[in-house]
Amino acid sequence: MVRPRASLHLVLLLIGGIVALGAALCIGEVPVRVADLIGILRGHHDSLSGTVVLQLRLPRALAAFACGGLLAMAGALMQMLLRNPLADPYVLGVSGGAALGALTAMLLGAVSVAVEASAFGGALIVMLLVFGLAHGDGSWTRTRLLLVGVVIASGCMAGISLLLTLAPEQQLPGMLFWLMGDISNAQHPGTALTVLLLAVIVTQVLARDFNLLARGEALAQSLGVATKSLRVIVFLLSSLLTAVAVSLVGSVGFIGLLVPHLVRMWLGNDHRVLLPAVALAGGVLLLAADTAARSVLAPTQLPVGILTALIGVPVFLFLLGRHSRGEGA
Amino acid sequence: MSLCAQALKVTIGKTVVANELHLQLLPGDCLAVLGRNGVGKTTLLSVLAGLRSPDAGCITLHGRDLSDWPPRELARQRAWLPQMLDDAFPASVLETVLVGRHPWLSRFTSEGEADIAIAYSALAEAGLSDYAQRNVQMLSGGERQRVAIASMLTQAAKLLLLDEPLTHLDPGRQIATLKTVATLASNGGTVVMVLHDLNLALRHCNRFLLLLGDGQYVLTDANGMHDTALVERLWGHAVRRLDDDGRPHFIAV
Repeated sequence: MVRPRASLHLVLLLIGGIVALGAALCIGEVPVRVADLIGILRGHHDSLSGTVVLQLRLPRALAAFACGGLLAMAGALMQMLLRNPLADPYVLGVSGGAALGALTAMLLGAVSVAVEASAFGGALIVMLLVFGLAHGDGSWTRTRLLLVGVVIASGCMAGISLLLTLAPEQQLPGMLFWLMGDISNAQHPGTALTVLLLAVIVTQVLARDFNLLARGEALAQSLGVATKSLRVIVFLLSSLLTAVAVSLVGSVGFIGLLVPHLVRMWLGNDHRVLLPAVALAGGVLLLAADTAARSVLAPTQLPVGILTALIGVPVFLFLLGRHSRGEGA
Repeated sequence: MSLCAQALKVTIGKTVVANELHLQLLPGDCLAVLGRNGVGKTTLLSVLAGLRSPDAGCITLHGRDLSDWPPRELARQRAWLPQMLDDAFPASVLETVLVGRHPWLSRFTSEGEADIAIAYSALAEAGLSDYAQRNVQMLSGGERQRVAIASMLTQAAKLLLLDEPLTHLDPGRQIATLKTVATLASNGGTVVMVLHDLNLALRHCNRFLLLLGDGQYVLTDANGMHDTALVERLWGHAVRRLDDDGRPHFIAV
């Protein structure tokens, strides 16, 4: 029914992604013309600009795209699971938990996979804590959930500060980026891109069940959805997506809040369309934000988390105001 | 369609909703569940829907225990209208009503022309033909309730369990809804509904389950409901009986 129109929008988003990627590869201290870019990507590259594009900008751009998609999808999934449009990995402290896990692993001398596993563990623990505590009265009321999330998030921040204080000086720069979200160190986007692609495929299979779960657990159950196992899947998946993104780019905030909200206004809340659209739109947004963050005050590179927070904070407050007035309660 | 409860015990916390409840419902039956606030009508209904396990006893549908039914197959047989609906996210009325087709669609199929036709006829039945593209979050309470009823009709189940289906509906819509439901019952369906309006229940239902608290219950037919003392016991309130066209009406005084 809505399928042809929806796939058109997805194609539009895909084109947006290609444009954002092209811009990210061209813009910077060493400007590259579009004609040259095509040559470089075909393999004809002269020394400098070829190296800059292929070894610096391309991995960074892909990492930004993947993480934007991951965080946006994690946000959409959490919102569906909690039936709360204000849920987001950053707001609920899940990003903070992942960062805390990753930093602990780094401080103990772990590298690569161990750091990511620890980030996943941190994300999972925080999600359990937030969901468990907020669920105490039997229902996930909006304020309770957000309050618990904010408190846990600030607890994670304190933990991160403690680790930074204890950390040996040579490890500090590498650890600091977790605090603000910074893509400049991300050189290996392969895992994140793979996870994003798999998540889009897996969620496509379950998307109609998600539509029902978003309308209420008992209703979904009465319509034949195995809600208990589905909730566990969504819970693990959104933790995994957050952890992968955070272990690559640190705690970039508000993507998971902003993107699903905007896409929902545009395309509606059918998860068959919403989730792939959110993945693409999140990628485009974080990629564009990162390109802006490294070129606005060039040669100074801003951490992209600052930029997303600058956009995200007012939008979050606007949404909160709208919801407390009872709209869509 | 036959739903059969045997030696059913249902409790919530310390409240005993029903004890040793025996109930058999056949095609054509329309059962009203009546009782005061907090007596456990909703809980009993969700137990009968298989959404909650009883404390003791068993419920069978077509001779098969409810807990043995695969959820999807069960959802093709019985529909459940929940009492409270809140929409966390915006959605069109048509999308919301199409949700009822879920148990009939395989995992990788989308709603097709036939499903949409079913949804539109359910919308027409609920008097919502012009509402298909409206946002459910912007509807009034009564309109939202009618969307829920249309959604339940779209599910095309033979056993319907309705928790206060008349909430927020105006009198005309209350009658229209009860007529829709009664028609489904007379076409071989089975209906169980929680109602507060005893007089409407008397007009449209043929069986009555009165929950009287502490697990006590009375299961009776329309004639059994002509007993003023029983209604007083049900409501815990003085009752006046008025007869109109040989039909009793009960009013709380």
